[in-house]
Amino acid sequence: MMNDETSGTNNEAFEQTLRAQNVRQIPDGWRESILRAAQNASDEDCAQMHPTAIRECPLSFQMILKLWHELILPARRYWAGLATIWVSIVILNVSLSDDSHATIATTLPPSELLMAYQQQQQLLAELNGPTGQAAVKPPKQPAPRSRSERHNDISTV
Amino acid sequence: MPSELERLYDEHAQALFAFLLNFTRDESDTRDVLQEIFIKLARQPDLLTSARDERPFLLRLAHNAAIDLMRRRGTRAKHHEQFGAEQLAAFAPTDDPDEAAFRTELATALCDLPADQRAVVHLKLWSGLTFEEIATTLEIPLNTAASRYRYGLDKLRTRLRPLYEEIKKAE
Repeated sequence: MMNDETSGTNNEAFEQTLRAQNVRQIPDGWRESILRAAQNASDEDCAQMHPTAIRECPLSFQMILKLWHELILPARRYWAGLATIWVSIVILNVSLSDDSHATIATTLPPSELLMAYQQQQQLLAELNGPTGQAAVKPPKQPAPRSRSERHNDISTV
Repeated sequence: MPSELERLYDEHAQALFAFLLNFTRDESDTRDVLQEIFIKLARQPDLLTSARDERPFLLRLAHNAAIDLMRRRGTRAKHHEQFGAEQLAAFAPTDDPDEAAFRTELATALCDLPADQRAVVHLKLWSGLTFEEIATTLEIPLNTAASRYRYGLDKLRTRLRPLYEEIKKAE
């Protein structure tokens, strides 16, 4: 046990001796360069998030962006709700107008069209005649004559 | 009024520098990793918000970044481990010649330790972390942290015994 205690004491003493050795100090010049590099990296990230192209846009586009950021984004939920209502109204309107067109297509024609149709029907009836035959027969073709009849005709000429 | 980044640098950069210099055994690598850490802090200001204690959290960042760097360096790092460590001054200069000799030998002995033992020894002796904090920082089990420290300290004691006994005699 005495040896263990001595050994333990020696270990502690050895550790103390090691701990007493001062580590080297960080060079003074590193502070400025490291912090500047860190700041530059942070600034580069900010520049990438806000590209200069936006700042060079035409005035109208900038105004639109400004309106967007100041008017729309702060109340975007309300604007989205309003837009949904308007879209619903438009869809409903379109669907109702399609139905009305279909209804119009099935109504009776105007009176003028009806009279013209009736006149056509009368004309058709007159053309068909009293028998009611709808088709006009072609002129009757004479039946071919026999040779003896044709010979008699030739001999008389 | 200093910025948050400046405050972090003033409070923790020295500890990070000492750890990284001991771990990487290369001053330029140490600077690269230190800069990488502060760039990360500048880009993600909320990084430390969830950390219970800033120092162990930053040391963990440093450790992981150093490992990544050493993996990227690959074979060149191994050669530097073998041949470049003698020139590295990991400890502050001193006017006492015995102490100077001891510090030089200590730096060389630390270089001969495996990187994982060297990291634990440094965090225990010179960063003042507990074994629990070391385990959290290096993301290893508590028993592993303790055993690595014990093995590393034994090797240092064996290597430095002659010089250590001379220093004790002189005192």
